[in-house]
Amino acid sequence: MIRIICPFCGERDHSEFTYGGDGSIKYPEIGATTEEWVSAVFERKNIKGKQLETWHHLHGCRMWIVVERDTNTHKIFRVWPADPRMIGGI
Amino acid sequence: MTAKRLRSGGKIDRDKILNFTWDGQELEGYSGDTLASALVANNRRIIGRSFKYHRPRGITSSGVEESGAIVTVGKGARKEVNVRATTQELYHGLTATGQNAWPNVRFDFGSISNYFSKFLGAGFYYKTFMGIPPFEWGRGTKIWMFYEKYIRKAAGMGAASREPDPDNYEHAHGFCDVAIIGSGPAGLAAALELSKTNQDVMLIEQDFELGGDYLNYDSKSEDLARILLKINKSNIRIMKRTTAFGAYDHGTLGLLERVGDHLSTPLNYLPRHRFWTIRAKRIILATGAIERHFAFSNNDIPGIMTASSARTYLNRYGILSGEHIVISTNNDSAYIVSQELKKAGANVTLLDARASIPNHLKKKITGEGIELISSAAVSEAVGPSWVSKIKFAKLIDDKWINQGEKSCDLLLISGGWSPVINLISHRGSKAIWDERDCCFLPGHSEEAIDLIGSARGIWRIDDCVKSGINIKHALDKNKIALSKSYKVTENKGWENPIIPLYEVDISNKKSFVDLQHDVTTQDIRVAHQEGFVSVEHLKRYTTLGMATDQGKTGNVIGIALMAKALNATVTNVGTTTFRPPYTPISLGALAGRNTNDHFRPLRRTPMDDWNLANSAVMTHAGLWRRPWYFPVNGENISQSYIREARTTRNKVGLCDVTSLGKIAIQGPDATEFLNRVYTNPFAKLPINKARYGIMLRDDGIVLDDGTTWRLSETDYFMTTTTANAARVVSWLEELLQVRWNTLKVHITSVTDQWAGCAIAGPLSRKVLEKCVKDSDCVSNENLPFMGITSTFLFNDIPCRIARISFSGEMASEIYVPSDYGHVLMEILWEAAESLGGCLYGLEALGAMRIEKGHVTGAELDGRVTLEDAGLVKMASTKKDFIGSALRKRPEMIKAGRPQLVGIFPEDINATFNAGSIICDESNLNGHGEGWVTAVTYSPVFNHWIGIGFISGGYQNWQNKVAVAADPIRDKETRVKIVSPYMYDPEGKRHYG
Amino acid sequence: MGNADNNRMSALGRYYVKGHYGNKESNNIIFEEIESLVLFQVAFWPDTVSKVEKILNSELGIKKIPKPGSSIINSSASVIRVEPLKIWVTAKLEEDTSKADTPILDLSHSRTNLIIHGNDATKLLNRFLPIDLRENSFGIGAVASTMFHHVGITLWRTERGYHLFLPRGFSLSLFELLKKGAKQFGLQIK
Repeated sequence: MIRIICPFCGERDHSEFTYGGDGSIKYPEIGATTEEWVSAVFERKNIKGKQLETWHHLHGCRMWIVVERDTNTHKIFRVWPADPRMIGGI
Repeated sequence: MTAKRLRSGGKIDRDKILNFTWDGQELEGYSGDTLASALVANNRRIIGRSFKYHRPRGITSSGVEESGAIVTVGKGARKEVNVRATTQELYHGLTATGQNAWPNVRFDFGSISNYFSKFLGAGFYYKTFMGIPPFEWGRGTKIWMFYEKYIRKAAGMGAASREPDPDNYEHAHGFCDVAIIGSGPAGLAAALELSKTNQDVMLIEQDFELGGDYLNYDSKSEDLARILLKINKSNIRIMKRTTAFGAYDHGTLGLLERVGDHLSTPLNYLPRHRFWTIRAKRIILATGAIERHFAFSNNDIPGIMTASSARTYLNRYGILSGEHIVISTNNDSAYIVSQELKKAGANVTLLDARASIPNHLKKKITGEGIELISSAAVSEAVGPSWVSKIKFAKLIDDKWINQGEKSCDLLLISGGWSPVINLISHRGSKAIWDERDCCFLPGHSEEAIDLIGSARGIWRIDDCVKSGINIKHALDKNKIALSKSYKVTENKGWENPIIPLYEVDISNKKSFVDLQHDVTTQDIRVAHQEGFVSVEHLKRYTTLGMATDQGKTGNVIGIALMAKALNATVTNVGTTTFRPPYTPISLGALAGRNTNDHFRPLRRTPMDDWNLANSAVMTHAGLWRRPWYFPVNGENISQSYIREARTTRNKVGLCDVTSLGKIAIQGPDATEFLNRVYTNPFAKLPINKARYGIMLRDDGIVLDDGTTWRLSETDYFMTTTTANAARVVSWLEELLQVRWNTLKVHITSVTDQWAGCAIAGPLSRKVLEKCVKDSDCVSNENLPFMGITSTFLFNDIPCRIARISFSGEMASEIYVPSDYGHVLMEILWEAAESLGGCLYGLEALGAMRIEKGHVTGAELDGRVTLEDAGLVKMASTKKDFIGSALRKRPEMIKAGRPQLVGIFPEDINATFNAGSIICDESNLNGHGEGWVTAVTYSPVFNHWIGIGFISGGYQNWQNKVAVAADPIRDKETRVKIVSPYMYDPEGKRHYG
Repeated sequence: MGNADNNRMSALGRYYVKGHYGNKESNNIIFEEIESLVLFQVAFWPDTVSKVEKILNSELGIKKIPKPGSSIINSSASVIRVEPLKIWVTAKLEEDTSKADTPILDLSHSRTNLIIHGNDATKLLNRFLPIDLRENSFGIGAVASTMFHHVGITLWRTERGYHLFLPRGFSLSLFELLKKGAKQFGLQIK
């Protein structure tokens, strides 16, 4: 079990969260080309080491967060809100 | 009689006599005894029979590493098998039996297998029964499958109770700054030191007494009492009878607390075990070390145990385990044992494998009347069922040569000590072999886990205490993790060096490495000869270390023997990975209270009681409990749902639809948001109107459908399918927070806020008119198809009504705040019943939606496009939306994809199954052309109908015959493919 | 609306039976249900904080939005910060104060409100909840959403004890679990 420091709630069990996906993806506008969408939806790296990922604090504050985690050791380096309006807190 | 309880001494309470039963005999012990100590005191010798060869086994230790005294405790439903007698606390009325033997452990019919044992070596079962040549060349393992059950029976592990477990179990969560595992000299010293700080400390001890090694001393009782007095006064949280069985990420520990295993009468409100998840900022392992045996001929027969355990039985339990004792050692630790046993009245001979023993040590021992033979080790124990004498040998030119014999009634072994490094190894820290101390030491860890005491190879008790005290410096310097340069206390090694001793190989009699799994030195060598040289392969081939003791004493010996066979070092051979649990834990504890009715949380609608009171038979839809059908006059399910569907189509029916997902969508950009999420336009939906909408995933596959109601300019009420409710909320939140964070929209689930009921059928408006305060508001003008209204029931309860229809009839869904759900049903039912209406459940709802060709989760299964589901007209061509790009990929729009169709049997008396594969009649093979997602008896058509998908859809299959094939249930039905909109395709019935 | 309020039925309903349960020797857990809960949600955005505070001030005399994980307890009502951009108010807010950028939502029927107090209340809750309830982590006024047997719930601590806001549909199932767990401490259902 890993523990994630939610920017709003503090440190919690990962069982309160659900894994979202690749946190490094910049999703294109909905009107973007098929090629851009194929790249955003299907093309993924399989990283051993540090990666960005999104998680949803489903059973907590319901905030989507970005987690920088080592896939090899589970070490978590940084966590911040996915919504830039929330960075720095309200 | 050889073992006896001494008149005084020990840490037992001699005023509290406990009666217990061993193999049907009434015996006595004392409070403070374990089952093992009580059996030793009663001079019980054969406690079990071995796993494979049914050889007699006795008590081999005094702790968790026990590999001989594996017994069955309790009776009836509370029978527990494979209990270590050495850790089972004695209680009044305890019943225990030996296991793996018939009729009993003293005379076991199965021991005959010992005489055939040369055929039962490593890999025997696999070689003999799996893929037996020439009968099974290339044909798998049929013969193995047949014989396996007999083999399992012969290789016994005790017979578990077949009755349901009568006990409760529970989970618990804990948090602390520092968790100290183990309350021996090092752990207590650390705890005492930390009690002076403001750290929040948990002290976790698997035993029922605190003290660890202190309890094995005759002289340290006062030291211990003094420490415990202080600890008890401090804020340290003490958990006894609690095993830290696993260490996990980010400071998480798994603990098993045995709450009721020592109670004569379990209390029904107390759990038997408690499964703790502890999150510690820092973990200190003071888990001690375990004494090993070594391999020699017949080293498994009763009357042989580790040297330190004899000391434990003496000083903790007041028992002298033998009168004529031989001790065979390779290290200093056995010296104090020999002295104390001698002092207690035994004759003691000490064999020390080391050639050079310091004079002062020699003098001390011999001066006390102990015979000391250096350069010697035991080479064979002579039984047969209790050790009566031993042979001993000396190592001359690398060969063991027998030197003589000694009569004895107890043989004690000290083959070195293995630090308990399991928990840090769980964290991926590789154990490091220490040549000097002949043991694996903990490897490096980046995490906030420290080891103190003998768990890190510190052998002297004073140094152990120091290492505990010194932990405070580590905490002051760095609160998170030890700095790499910091050493808790230097590990100085033995005062007089230990020498390697793993095997004395003279005769070819059985010589055991792993007692519990009957793995012999011969098995290791066979494995080596057959090429299983990797330590992980060795383990699996010989089953070394795979018994319930997990090789706590045997693994190192096995690894050392493999190293010798390979002419390599132990470092090169390496060790297998330690994995949780450290000691076995009950399945009940893993489940906790989440069993039976609480296996999953039950979600009830506000009408749950009302439905039950009105004869509903319930079913589960996800976590929800919903009415399935409402039988009257003893109807079965088919009679009931057909009547319900028919009554609804002809008159009116009521159905609890609370479980639909309901989401409040609020904010200035709510309209823009919905317009991006739904495939169809929402920009111009008028206030007080509802619209059916479809959402796609990014990849263009259909995600969910439902209706969304516009309550005000910036306020919407979305409904989703029951199955996808939670997923849709998360998805909408993801879009708003991760992607579209310029939009101002808030999403809130209001599923629990509203109770909902569908009123369907031609008389549905009449029902509504009777129930609302102002009947005008439900007229066709004020509430047309897809209209909504917010109004009041006649008794002032606020409600929302939408003219929407899933059944295809004129229908509405009415919602009230949940606490009024039961009142809503009472009012609606009074009106509907008077009009000849009915209540209907999920089965009738399913029948009616299939007749209409309405899709549900069975159709929208994550593979279906808008085109496939016949919903392409729902895709706006004037705007972009989620999935609009990828839904046009070539594979998604190619002709001939399976499309939604209706299915009729060719012979209207025939039936067919949901899940059937639809095949061309000329080719009943492979994956077919499509599949059936749902079937029902149709009250409208008076025969069975279904919906499903088939290549090319209705257009391709008009006037062709297909076959619904169900190879599992062996059924084939000739079917016609029809339009999915089987009933009222123009949708006339829901208007008006 | 007085009429309608009398008709409210709790999700625990007839299963909420007062009395003493379990260990007869002790009485260390007390359950009290607050029936007819009034709970309104106000949502906001970073640039509408002052508008929300204006509403709170005029309706309840509370001037600030409480900090994350905390609440402001007032004699007339309390304000609980449940999400970064959402607060719950335990008082009825007039519908017409709901504006596009400070949307108000009535959640009064969506949760069952159970108060748990007594000497062993923290112990009982930690039999189920995976969050740190030690005094300096979760004192009076603290609020957290967490997981209870796979169900998201909200926990709030006041002088009266722990208030559990249980999603209505799950609340009876969770109440049954709490009751089983509480028996070892001696349970009084008030």
